[in-house]
Amino acid sequence: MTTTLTPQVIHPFLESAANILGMFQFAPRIGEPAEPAKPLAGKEVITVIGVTGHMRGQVYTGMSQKDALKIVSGMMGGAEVPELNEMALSAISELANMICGNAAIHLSQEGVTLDISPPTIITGNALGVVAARLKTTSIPICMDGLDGLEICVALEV
Amino acid sequence: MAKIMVVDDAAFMRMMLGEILRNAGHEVVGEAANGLEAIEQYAICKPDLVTMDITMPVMEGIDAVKQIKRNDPSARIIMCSAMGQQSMVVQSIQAGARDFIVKPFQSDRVLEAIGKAMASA
Repeated sequence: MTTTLTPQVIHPFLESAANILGMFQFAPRIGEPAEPAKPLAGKEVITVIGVTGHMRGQVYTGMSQKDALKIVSGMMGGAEVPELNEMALSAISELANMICGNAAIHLSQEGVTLDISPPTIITGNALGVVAARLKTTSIPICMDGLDGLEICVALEV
Repeated sequence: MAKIMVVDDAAFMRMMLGEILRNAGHEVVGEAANGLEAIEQYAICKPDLVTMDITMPVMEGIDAVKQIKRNDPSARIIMCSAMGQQSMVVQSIQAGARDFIVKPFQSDRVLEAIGKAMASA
C-alpha cells in the first residue's frame, strides 16, 4: 500500500540536514518542497541511501562539485580542500549518512522505525534522477555563498 | 593513554577520529572498515578500546560487538554512529558496548567517553 508522503515524514530529513550543516559552520535555510520532473538535475555529486522499515525507498542528496569542496572543508574545520579526492567523497557520503541517521532518530521518537544502507556516491556531469518509481519530493537547503544542497526523498510509507 | 582501534566504513570518519585521538595523546593501533575486519583486527592488535560504527557493509557494528565480546569479555567498545535511536542504543549496550556517541560529534564528547571507559575495568 502506498500513501502520500506527509510533511511529518519529510521534515526530519530537512531538520537533520540543517542541524548538521549548522554544526559545520554553515547557516542553512530550508526551502520549499517541490515535485520536479527531473530531481537533482545538474547536480555533480549525488549520494544515495536506501531506506527500509516502516518506510522504504531512497533518500538522495545532490550538490555541485564546488559546493561539495566547501562542505568538506567545513566538515574538516575549515581546512582547504582543493580536489574531490577519495577522502573528500568519503566525507560527503558520511554527511548523507549523518543526515539520514539523525532523521531516523527523530522518526523513531514518533514510532517510525527505519534502517538505512551505507551510502553510495555518484559523480559526473548532467546527472539527474529520470525515472523513479516512487513519487519523489525535492527540497532545497540554501546556504550563503553556496549553490545549495538538494535533498530528494523517494519513500513510500 | 590508550591503544585504540577505530572501526568505520567511511575513511573520512577514521581520519577525523584518528586525529582527535592522536591529538589527545592516544595511539591508534588499528583500523577496520566493517565488522568482520574489526573482529580480525581486534585479535591482531589487541587494543585497549574500540570505537565502533553501526551501519557498515559486510557486517554491521552491533554484530561485531557481540563477537568481539565473545572472544574477549573484557573488551571496551564505544559505539559511534549516526543511528542513535533508543533501540540502537539499547541493542548496543546489551551487546556489551560501554557508551554510545551520536554522529556528528564534538571531540570533547569522544574523549570524555574514552576516559570514562578506560577508568573502569
